[in-house]
Amino acid sequence: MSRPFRSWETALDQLVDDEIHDSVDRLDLKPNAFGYDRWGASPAAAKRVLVLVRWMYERYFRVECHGIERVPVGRVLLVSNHSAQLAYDGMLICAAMVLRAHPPRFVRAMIERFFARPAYVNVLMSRMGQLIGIPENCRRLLQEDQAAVLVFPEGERGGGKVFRDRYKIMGFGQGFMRLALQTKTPIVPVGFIGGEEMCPSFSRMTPLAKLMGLPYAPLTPTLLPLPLPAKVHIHFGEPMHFEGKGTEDDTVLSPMIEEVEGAVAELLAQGLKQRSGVFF
Amino acid sequence: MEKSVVITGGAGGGGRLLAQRLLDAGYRVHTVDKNPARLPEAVTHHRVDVRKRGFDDVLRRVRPWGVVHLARLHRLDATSEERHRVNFEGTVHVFEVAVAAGVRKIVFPSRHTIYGALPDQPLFLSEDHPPAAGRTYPEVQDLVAADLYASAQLWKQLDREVVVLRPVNILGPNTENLFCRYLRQRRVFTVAGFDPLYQVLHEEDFVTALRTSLEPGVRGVFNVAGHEPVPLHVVVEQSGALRVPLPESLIGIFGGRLGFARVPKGAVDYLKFACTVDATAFQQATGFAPEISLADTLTSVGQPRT
Repeated sequence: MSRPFRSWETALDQLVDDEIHDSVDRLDLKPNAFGYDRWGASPAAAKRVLVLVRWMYERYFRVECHGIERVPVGRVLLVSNHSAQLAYDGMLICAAMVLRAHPPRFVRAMIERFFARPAYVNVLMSRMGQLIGIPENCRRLLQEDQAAVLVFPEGERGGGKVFRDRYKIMGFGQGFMRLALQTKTPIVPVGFIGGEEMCPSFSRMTPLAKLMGLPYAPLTPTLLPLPLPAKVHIHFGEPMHFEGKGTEDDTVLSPMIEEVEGAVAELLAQGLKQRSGVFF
Repeated sequence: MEKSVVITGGAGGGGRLLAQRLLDAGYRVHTVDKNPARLPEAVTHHRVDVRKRGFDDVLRRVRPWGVVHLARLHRLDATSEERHRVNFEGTVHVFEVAVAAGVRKIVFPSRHTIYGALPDQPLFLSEDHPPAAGRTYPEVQDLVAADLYASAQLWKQLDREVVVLRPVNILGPNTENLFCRYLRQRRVFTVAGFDPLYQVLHEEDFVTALRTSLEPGVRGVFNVAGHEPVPLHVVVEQSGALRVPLPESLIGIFGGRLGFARVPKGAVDYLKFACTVDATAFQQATGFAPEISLADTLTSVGQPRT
């Protein structure tokens, strides 16, 4: 990075404490001599970002994590509901896996294609190990033994959903199931609670979004990209194993996908019942 | 009897390195180039243009076992018609003449850039990925067409071996491609806010890949990469240049001025988005592995020619 970023980086480096060093150093990342892994992720950059993200995780969203010990060792596909307009849900689930899982796991989220275009954002995503959600990328990742991949099968339908649809699953795509079958990867359902209240949106403003080349343009009372400090609960479900080749007809796949969708919906329903308030 | 190989474009940096390597490996080496060449004495240089009749004559007389077709017009300031004539029609002519002369092995080095650098494409493209560079980079249409033609010959020429190599960015003191020229400027701009992954291959390792492709039994279309990718800023900084991130809108203005390289508009995408390949098929088919380390490859571009 150029000079102004360097001084930023040095300043942030001084805030990296032992907990972050320890968590990131134990991640299964294989950086080369220049500090980057083959997908462009950088442990040094991850540490700097974690300084801020840990503060958001612990102080701002006061995340409570339930059942993280259910995530099995080895290859795994985390399947979550999607909300929050911007990728706060992905960020917090990844943070939970680094800060709260034993041993810490580096999760790569499959993100909206849109994120590859904006300047700086694309570099940040790449350094954090996030990849745009193309089946080829996901398949290649899941061929690695220790890979933990996070997907939001609702895609932008979920990310950009409006407030009256909160905690409703907007329909899962099929891609994740085909990939899980092809690579024989267990699926862990994840219920993310709090995302709908941190950036409530009342309209996707589709015509405006089209003009700006965005998947959706949320009309929200919060000052984007700043979310409200809703309390976040992340619920991890029991691992699910499916058998198949991944080339089956849609009719064969649908019940399996519904099973995962149902598991996520169940985690959401239970989590919502348990939660005492939106902000506390 | 020792096998003879004709190298087209033999006067270039890569041609000279390959000629020496093939001599060392015991081949009889002929080079063809319309330019005079500084080559080892044991090499027979034929000063003809591959598109002209003289080339037919050389192949009829030499009756080579193999042809490595390196001749290319890289300069992007040449008109697209000129480039098309050399890079596409030249390639077609070389294949036709080689087939007529009964050549057993034809090696055609293409390049990874034909896949294109697009924001919505996966990392580590396989050989099956369609070459999409023409979508945003019309200057390389000729190279895409040549690659597709050569790849199709693989299936048409079943009684001889055709090898199409798609190497990643070749770096080295003797290499004169657009990327090396870009890195050799006093100031090297990158696009502010973008830092795509890059794969690089040392010119000596590329020559090794070419020589390996001449082994009997090797045929197919192969990506060739050396090391795991690194972000572009690492490539620029390791080459010894001063890196200046510029907003994309200023690149058109500063390109070719103030010590910056001029880069065609379509090529700017390669400074924004990754174009990386999966090269495991070539490794498995030939056992190829780079001999020169990533660090040495990155610094080689600024070193004096040999």
